[in-house]
Amino acid sequence: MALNRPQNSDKVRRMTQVALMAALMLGGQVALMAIPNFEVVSLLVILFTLTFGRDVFGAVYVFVVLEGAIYGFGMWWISYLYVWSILALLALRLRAMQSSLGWAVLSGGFGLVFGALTALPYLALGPAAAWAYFVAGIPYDLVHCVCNFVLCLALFRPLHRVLERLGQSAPQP
Amino acid sequence: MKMSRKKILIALAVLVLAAGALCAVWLLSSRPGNSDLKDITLVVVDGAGSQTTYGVETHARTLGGALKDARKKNILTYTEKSGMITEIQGIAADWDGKKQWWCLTQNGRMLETGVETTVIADGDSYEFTLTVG
Repeated sequence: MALNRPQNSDKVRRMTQVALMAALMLGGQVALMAIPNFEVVSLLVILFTLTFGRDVFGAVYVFVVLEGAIYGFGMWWISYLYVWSILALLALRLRAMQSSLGWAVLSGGFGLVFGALTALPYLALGPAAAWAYFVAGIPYDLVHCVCNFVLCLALFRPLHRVLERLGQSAPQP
Repeated sequence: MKMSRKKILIALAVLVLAAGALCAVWLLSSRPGNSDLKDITLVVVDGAGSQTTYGVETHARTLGGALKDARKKNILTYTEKSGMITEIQGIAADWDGKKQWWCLTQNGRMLETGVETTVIADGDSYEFTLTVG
């Protein structure tokens, strides 16, 4: 049932959604940080993009700022300014896709190229440093790829169903 | 945009091939002897501020590779956990209790890279300093 809410109420609601999305991303990251390259943030970014559309970018940047505040604004943080947005943009582009296998391929692919994407800021220290960073991270990227693929294949459909139900009454951007 | 099952399976095949290609890149890049011999210096500064210097000859491209060579040659011992040095020469950094960590610098300048991503050159000197806080 569509509700006629005042515009301010919708703004507050969307801001609250952004805050909750960011909190879930941060909570998921912190909860799984003991397991290298096993993360739930990729899956959440995909799911939030499908449910809340472009509002996901607000959540992504709140999450990125909080990550910097907790772990320090190092070289890795610069890459966070674009890696999660790239995933959200791809999810927006593919939002009509229904197949959980398709989303698992996207999530796995993102895990595989994560190291290459995060190596880009190291070009400032020279191509050799960026290459060394990339090569040293390849085993982690492979683990990241497999974990993202399996996690998305297993959890995409049930979580998407729950979020769709929650998002039905939410305003679409 | 609707994606057919065939397109998704092609994307999956590309993903598997890309993963295989990355494995090959890693194996080829990690082969020893692909790089010139370098003579580097490692300085370990303990909690009391006393320094011990070690010379390492290595073909490795990165500081992480040089450390592995140093360990193989019994020049020094260290422990690494998730890319972080946690112990050198039996001196463990107690992060949980005393907020200690090994700070990596090159000629006193803190590095933005970890040991695995620091590219070394002949004559380089790196310091590992037990730091609190």
